[in-house]
Amino acid sequence: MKNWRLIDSKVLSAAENMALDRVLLDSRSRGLVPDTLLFLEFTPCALVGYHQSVELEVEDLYWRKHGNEINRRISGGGAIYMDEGTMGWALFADKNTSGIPRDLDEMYASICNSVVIGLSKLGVEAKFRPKNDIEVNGRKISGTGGTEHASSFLFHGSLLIDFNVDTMVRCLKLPIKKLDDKQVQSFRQRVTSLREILGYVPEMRSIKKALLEGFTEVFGITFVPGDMTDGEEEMLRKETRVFSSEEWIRGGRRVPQSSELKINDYKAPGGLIRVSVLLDRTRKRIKSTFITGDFFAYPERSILDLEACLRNSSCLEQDVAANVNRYFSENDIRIPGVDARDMSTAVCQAISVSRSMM
Amino acid sequence: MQYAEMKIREDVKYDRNNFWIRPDGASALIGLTEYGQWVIGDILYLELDPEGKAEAKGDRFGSIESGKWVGSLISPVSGRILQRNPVVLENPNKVNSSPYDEGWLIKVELETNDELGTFLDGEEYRSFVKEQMDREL
Repeated sequence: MKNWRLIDSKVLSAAENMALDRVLLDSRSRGLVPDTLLFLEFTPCALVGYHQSVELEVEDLYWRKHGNEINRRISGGGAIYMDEGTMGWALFADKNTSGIPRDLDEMYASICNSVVIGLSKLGVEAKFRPKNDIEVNGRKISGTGGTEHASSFLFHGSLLIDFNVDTMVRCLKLPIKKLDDKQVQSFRQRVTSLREILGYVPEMRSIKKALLEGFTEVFGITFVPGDMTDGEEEMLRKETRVFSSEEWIRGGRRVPQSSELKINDYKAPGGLIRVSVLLDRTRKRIKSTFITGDFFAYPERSILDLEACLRNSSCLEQDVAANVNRYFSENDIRIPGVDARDMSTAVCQAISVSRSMM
Repeated sequence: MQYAEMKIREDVKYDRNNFWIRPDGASALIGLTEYGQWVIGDILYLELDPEGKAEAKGDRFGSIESGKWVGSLISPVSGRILQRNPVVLENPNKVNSSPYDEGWLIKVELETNDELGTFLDGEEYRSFVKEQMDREL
């Protein structure tokens, strides 16, 4: 059994939590501390991915009105909302740690699967959804991401415990503005929480214990409760100032990007397909899609999986058509009156409509 | 991708972080190798340090993101960034589709030519890649 340090952090501000990621990754990469698992707790905040732009991802007016924090992760991925009804877990380890694959896709799968096993201890039947989400019946309960520094990596994730979807819908720029209540309700079905699945909120210590058991089972790790070193504490104070700065949170990211919301209805023989798509025309990518309508899809989760398949993919018409066709041909999708061609036409028409909603 | 399909060119030098270096007098073009971009996967974001910035060998000169993972671009040489490739800043996917040509990253004014002797040639890099791929299996 390998010994890892376990740090169970108290509730910290968004800036402190984000700075903590950098501090622990840095000290691990300098060989000052052992491999470490960190549990994090949050006050309400929006966290954008390292390369994202705050103004494109977050409803700034909402945040200014409520005085909550916005911050930036050192890892990749999209904007997320975190609050007291969520928690974070993070692994800081050497890239050559035995048992943890170096190949990123395999690393995602093995770490996410250890979280899946942990959740099963709570009675939750979760699954890993490539590339790096954990879901229950197609509904997301944990998103993950990572980064690296020198010889070490950070891989972390969120876990929705008693999640406030309404606040998330209000505070992030999601592909659902201008949709009616029924459709927004359908969007809420994209995520779930431990409370919703179990009917109650497990104690935080039970959740952490279950996750630790999952990591132990998959990686043979023994967790030894520990604290930050004096050096880490000192560095955290210094880095928190950096992570609290406007320069870090909103400062000029040098990655050209854009965001526009497009909505279009397409009438297929099997019913109406409404596609709402967030586009980054600068990078020629679909940021996210939300597909609803009055068609019937079997299995029910197939539309959620299609949305996941299109996330961050090329928005060029031929690529969209190829991706949708591949998705339909590789999966057993049955939507009476809607075939792959209808679906790719619906998505492509949404991309090409001239009206921008944001 | 299979090892046999991996393009490794003979007209450039390589380092062990999977960058190629094409010296041209006092400057050099730098990019990711075919293997390097393949390991990273579909590149969503690419950030490069500004032109004029001096980098020491081993410094981070930018970041790259794929599948929610942010990686560092580590400078293989010491020098000053003369030019960033506007094509890859606009469309990072060019690094995936044309790593040795359209997808180059930066042009650097070399601080010294001494570092050039430390790089791998095509044959040596081929062995390095094979070793890496065998290790992943």
